[in-house]
Amino acid sequence: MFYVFVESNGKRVSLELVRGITEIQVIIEFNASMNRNNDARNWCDNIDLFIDYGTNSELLQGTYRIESSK
Amino acid sequence: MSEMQQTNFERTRCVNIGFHAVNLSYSTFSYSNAKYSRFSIVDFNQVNFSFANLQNSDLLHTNMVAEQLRSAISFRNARINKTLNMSESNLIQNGDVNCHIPLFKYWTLQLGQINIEISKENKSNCYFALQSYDTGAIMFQNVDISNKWDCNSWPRSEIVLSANMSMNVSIELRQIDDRHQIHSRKYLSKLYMILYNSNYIFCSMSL
Repeated sequence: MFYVFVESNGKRVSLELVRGITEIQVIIEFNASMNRNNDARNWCDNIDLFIDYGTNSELLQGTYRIESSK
Repeated sequence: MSEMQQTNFERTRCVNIGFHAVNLSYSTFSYSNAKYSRFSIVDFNQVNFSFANLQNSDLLHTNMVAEQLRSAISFRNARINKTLNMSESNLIQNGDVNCHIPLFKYWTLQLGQINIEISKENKSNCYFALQSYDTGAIMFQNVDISNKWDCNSWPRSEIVLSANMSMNVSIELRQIDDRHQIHSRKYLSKLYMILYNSNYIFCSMSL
């Protein structure tokens, strides 16, 4: 049993990390195409993968200023 | 300057907090989540940042040293002094497509042929380009995150993938668990798609 997520905004995707995850696979598929020309190449670059630690939208709501009178 | 020496911020949520003109020497931020926080005119002498999250934080006007930054779990997109000469590496090896690194050094080609080609717009930039248009092509890379992420310390975390790509290219982000099973997957593409019985059904275009 595994989960498949279908949405994509064309720029970035993310998955929540859960207990037991040890490895990430990134698989790039270039689909076959009959209409190859130099102006419409199948390409990709700037592949970036990172961990967003401590994601929680409520954490971004407050702004605090720490000061003392000393 | 406010005096806050030896303050214990260990494992605290310090997200989006502003510290201005504060002496924090000998304090600890170990395992604290300090992303998006702003530190200006702050004394970090002997401050412990081990495994702290400093993503997107502003550390430019501090006396932070390289050793402190290196001890953090992440400082991605943090604003730091250029003299530190440090940046956080991409978890994907050669994801930004270095023109001088062969494809096979970090990527495994599963099907077809893919070349590294020089960008017409910028000769110092390269990209992965399909060569076998009749069969298509597939390549992949595995990333071990067992020493990058600890569920107990960072229970609410996400793995994030971004890329530039043309139409007819899709990237699968796949999570593998400690039993070597696929736990979950998601697709990045210029097309919205639904996976059904291993066949892609394209629903609508995102242009």
